[in-house]
Amino acid sequence: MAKKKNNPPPRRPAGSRGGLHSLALVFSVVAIGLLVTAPSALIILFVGMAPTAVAIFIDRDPQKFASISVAAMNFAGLSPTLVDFVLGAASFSRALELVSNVFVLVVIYGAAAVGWVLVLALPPAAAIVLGVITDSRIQALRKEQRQLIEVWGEDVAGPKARLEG
Amino acid sequence: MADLAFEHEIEERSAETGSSYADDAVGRGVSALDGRCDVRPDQPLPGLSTFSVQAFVAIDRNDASQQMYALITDPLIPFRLNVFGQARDLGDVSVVKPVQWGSVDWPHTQRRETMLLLQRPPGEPLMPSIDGQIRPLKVPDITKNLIVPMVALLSALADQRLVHRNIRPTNLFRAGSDGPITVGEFYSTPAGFNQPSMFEPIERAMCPPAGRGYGDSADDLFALGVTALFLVLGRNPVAHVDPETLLARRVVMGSYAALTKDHKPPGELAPVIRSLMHDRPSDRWTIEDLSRWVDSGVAVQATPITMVRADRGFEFANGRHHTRRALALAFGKNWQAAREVVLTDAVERWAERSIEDRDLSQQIVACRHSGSSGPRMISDDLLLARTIIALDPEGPLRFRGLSIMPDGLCAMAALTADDTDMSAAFSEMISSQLMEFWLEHQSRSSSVAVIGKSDAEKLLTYLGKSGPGFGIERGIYDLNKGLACQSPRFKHASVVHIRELMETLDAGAKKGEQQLDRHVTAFLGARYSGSIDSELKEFSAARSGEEALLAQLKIFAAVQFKHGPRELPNLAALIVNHLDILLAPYRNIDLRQRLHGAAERAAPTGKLPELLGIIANRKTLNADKKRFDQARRNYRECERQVHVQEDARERTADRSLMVGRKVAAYLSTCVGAAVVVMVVLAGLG
Repeated sequence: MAKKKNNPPPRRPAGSRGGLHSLALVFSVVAIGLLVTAPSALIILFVGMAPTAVAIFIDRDPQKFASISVAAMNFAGLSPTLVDFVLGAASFSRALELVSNVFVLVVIYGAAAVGWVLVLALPPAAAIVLGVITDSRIQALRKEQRQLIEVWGEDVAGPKARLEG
Repeated sequence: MADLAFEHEIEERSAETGSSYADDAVGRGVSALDGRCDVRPDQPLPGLSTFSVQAFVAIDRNDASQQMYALITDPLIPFRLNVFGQARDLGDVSVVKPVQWGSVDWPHTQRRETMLLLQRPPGEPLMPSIDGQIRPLKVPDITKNLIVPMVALLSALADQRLVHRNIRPTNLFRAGSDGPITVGEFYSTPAGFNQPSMFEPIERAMCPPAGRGYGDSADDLFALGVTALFLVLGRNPVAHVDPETLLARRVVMGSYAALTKDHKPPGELAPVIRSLMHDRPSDRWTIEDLSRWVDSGVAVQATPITMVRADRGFEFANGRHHTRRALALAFGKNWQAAREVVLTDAVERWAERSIEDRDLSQQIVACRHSGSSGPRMISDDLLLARTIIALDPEGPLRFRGLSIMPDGLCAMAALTADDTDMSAAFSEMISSQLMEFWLEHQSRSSSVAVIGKSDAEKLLTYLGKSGPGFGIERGIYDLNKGLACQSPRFKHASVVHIRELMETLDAGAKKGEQQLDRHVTAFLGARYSGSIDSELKEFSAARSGEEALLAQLKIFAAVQFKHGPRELPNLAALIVNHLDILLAPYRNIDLRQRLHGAAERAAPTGKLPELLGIIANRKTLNADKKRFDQARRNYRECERQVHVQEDARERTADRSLMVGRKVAAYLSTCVGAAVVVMVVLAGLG
């Protein structure tokens, strides 16, 4: 009976989820800090970071670049409210007041939306830039081949690999 | 040397004025040897002509008193070029000396012929024809004016390892009736070629003129004996006997007895003639014996031959043959019938019972076995040829109608070249190593064996290679230095010298004639001083027109470099017409154009080695090849890179999504971090 081969488990790409882990670490440190200094601030933190939770949930990319992007912007939008709360009257009622304030939420969620905008807008821009780079390199290589043919004749292309056009 | 353009000049003028130009040339004489002498086509010399060469008056332009004559040779027959050169150093002996040889544009034939310029002998031939009659010469006259100068001549020839082989009354000259006798020329044909067979020893007389062989002084002494007999009798003693019958008689009776059957020489000269005409070369008088007789007047006669004669003759071809040689002769002349006979045991039984020679019988049986020197299969022809050698070991090689002395292979090869059957028989004879078998049956070493072995080995080597420049043609030109090139394209010119051949090829190139055929390549290979075998092999192995043309250029360049002429403009122009093909191996287009220009500039000088240096410069070619290979690798690498980039372009959508999101993540992280830091700092401040 043939011996069954033990296939090694598929390796995860290096650095995959690394950014997300760093973000989670930062988030945990902030959460623990808030728990110690101002526990009621955790309400603002959890309500404010809801877009990030949604992004992590819907992002199927193993490297979670979209989630990182949304999380970073989301936290940037949350940070003014959170700093004001911790340095000011950090009470439970004040926390509920802030999370029910539409303007505060618009700022926080708007920042997360900017993260989404970046995630959606940058790939097409990158496609245009990469296309231009590739075309210019191909043109340079074809030019070099044409110069070789001018110097050495068609035979330099070999019997099968003649330059097309 | 006559002007090369003569041939064309004749053609052009003949077209204009019929044959008047040739007539003019006959009348005013033909300039020869770079204008040093005039040959008079209207003044033939019948007494100095033979059936193969025509003699004409020649006049030295610088010294009209010098008596000379010119021999126009037959282009199919090789002249003795090596002898022609060596005979100038013979010293003060009574023989016609050579002056110069070269080509002459001959109006009688309207072609270029090979001409031998010789000192003209005094007077007329001693006998006008071989069957003519003269007043018999007295014995003292023969002794003083023939034998004495002949001893000096034959000694001088022997010192130079030369033989005359043309001693006969019609080739002896003297002014008046009692002057010294001068021996005529012996340069214009192969040794013994012009001799009537009765002047040749039996074994050589059994061969046609071309196969009689180089011979040695013993053959000259035999001819001297017969000549003395003719002169002392004043006529041919066997004029009424046809050569075949005479040969048969000589085989049975011995040469002296056969020739003196009806007319005996005077008593004081008879033992001398008998000793000179001895049929066994080893017992024949030597030059020393003759000299001793001249000095002392005492003739110690050679031992007579004791011929073994069978009691019962071997019945074959309507005759009874009582001796080994007679039977061998009959077998050689009746080849087809003899082939049937040797397949039976009749010959060995005859040898054992009638000749009572058990050794001969065993030798005949051994002919059926290949042995150490023979081919694996013994054909019927070879069996018969071997049997004939066993019967007559001193006789010639006989093979399917050929009869050749071993030292006569060279001339025979040349003269059988045109006859398909004879040429095939000759090649088969050489390939079957009959010469080795002949050598094994010789009881003593001789110059005949040495020359024969050397020539046969050369021919065997050339026959083993079939390409142009080799084969039997190469053997023919290698062994016959005085043979004109037999190529059909030289029908208008007899070309013996390699330089002349190049000049003629150059003239032909103007008319677009084909340059190299089997004869021309073989001629060049044989006459080149050194070896151009590698170039010939390259030509032979050429698989494309380009390779053949380049090999041809290499051959011509090598020959021109060593033998001239200095300029071959038409051949160079022909080469330049094919530069595109010849320069095809060069890959660099710019280099090719530069070489093209250089070759076109060099062509008018007619220097083919220079042209070859431009077209086939190995160093340049190798450098070009290396650079081309590098360029090819670069091209392939570019192609690979293009494919890589094209693959990348196809994957742009995936890559751009990944890259864009990554950039978005980094950008967001940086912006976010900056905002947080600023907010914290602002809050704390």
